Amino acid sequence: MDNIVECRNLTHYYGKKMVYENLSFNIRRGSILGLLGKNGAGKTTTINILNGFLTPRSGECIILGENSRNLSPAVKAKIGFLIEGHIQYSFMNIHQIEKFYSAFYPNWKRDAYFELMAKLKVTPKQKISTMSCGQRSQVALGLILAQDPELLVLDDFTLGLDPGYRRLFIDYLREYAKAENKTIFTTSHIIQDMERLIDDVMIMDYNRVLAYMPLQNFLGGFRQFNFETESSQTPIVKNGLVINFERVKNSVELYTYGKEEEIKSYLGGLGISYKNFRPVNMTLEDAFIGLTGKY
Amino acid sequence: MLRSIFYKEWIKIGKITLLFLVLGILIIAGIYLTVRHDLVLTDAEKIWDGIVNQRQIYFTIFKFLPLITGLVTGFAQFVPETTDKRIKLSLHLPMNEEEVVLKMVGFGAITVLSVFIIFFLVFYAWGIVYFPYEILKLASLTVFPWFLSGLAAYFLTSFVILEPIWKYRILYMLAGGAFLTLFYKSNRAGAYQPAIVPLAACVLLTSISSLFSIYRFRKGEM
Repeated sequence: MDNIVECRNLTHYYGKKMVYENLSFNIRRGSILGLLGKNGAGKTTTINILNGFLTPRSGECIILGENSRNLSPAVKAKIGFLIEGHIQYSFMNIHQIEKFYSAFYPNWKRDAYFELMAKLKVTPKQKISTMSCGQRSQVALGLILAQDPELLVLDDFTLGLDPGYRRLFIDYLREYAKAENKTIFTTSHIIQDMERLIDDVMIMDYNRVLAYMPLQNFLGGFRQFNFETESSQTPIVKNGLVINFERVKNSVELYTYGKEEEIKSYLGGLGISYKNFRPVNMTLEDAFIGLTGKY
Repeated sequence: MLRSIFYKEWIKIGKITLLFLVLGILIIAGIYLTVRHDLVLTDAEKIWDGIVNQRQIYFTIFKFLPLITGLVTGFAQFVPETTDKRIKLSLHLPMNEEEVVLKMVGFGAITVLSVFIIFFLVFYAWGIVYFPYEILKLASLTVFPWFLSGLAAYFLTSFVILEPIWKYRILYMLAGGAFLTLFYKSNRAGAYQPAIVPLAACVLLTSISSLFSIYRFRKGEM
């Protein structure tokens, strides 16, 4: 399967503050890659580099065969872009904005846009600025569907959406992407519902990538074990086996890619006595917090 | 695509343009109604002496209207573009980024210029009723730098608003403000006659200043 995006050795700093160093990733044609991270982890920086709004200190992104720093109009026409917060030309109404964009895209699908608009309870002349965040998200999504791009770049599209709109957005998007073999690169700091959407996951923390793999591999391989211990000390260290752990009073949550026996053996080796050792099922959000920490 | 860009820009500045057009015509009407009143009801000789010999300006109220028109049009056009970094949408359109910005600025400049041409035609045509060609020529040479200042104000406003960093915006505002004062140094009618061409050349240079702001934005200055 060919890659629609190839980013190699991206390094970027804001002043002296490093965002990341040597970040490399690919996006397979027809796949949905979710870049997840806490606020300030570098998600929007990556989106800005992809769209040519930011020149990285070093490294490059090749999108549909062109360097992201100098995308031609033809390639830009194949990229649908959703700005964080579903920002659109809010001084227009839904008809004006459709009329504006339709002139730029030869394969404009007017019906796809108005099919989605029909679900909104807005008046024809209502300006986008007076709509709710959920309604604005549907306008932004409708415009992208009408553009019919090969690659959709969505910057934190969950921001501000209530659960209903978030679910509607995700379900609509997934169905569209899979039916039309579209490629999606999306970022989010709200993890709820993302496992319904993405195929591959990349989780970033400050300065580094914590996980980058198919979602099913991550959810199947990353595990949480809970246990209680009476030991006053917890000499557990984060290493290749223990990815993260948190202790609240006598309860310990331990996160690992290892198996139950390996963890038990590790705890035994440290001389930690424990009881009520049990694996815990995790959602993607649980796994994300387990990997990145609660704070 | 050009029509589409013009369509979007007109949505932003159409109402404000029409408002200034009406306001300007009302001000010009006010100027000539005052002239008529003064010529008919007060000392006409004294007024003639002021205009011809002392080069007094009988339309001072018009002085800052072009400047304000340029400033407000620039605000109305580019503040909605930069709020929430919405300019990214325009730069993502399937066109060359510089071309998009030049077309946006070009449309605004054409609109401002059109308003100024209408102002001038109304001002000149109404003046024919009361004054001979020589006085109207002097009046035209007086208002011309004001129109230039209006265009410069429009270009500089777009330049400042599109600049992504506030620190630089303030610097540009100070420099731009100082430049605009050059158009208002004298209160004598026709005083700017020898400086009109150099000033027009400077205004032409400011017309592409927005490209620098966009270059900085695309470089990642946010």
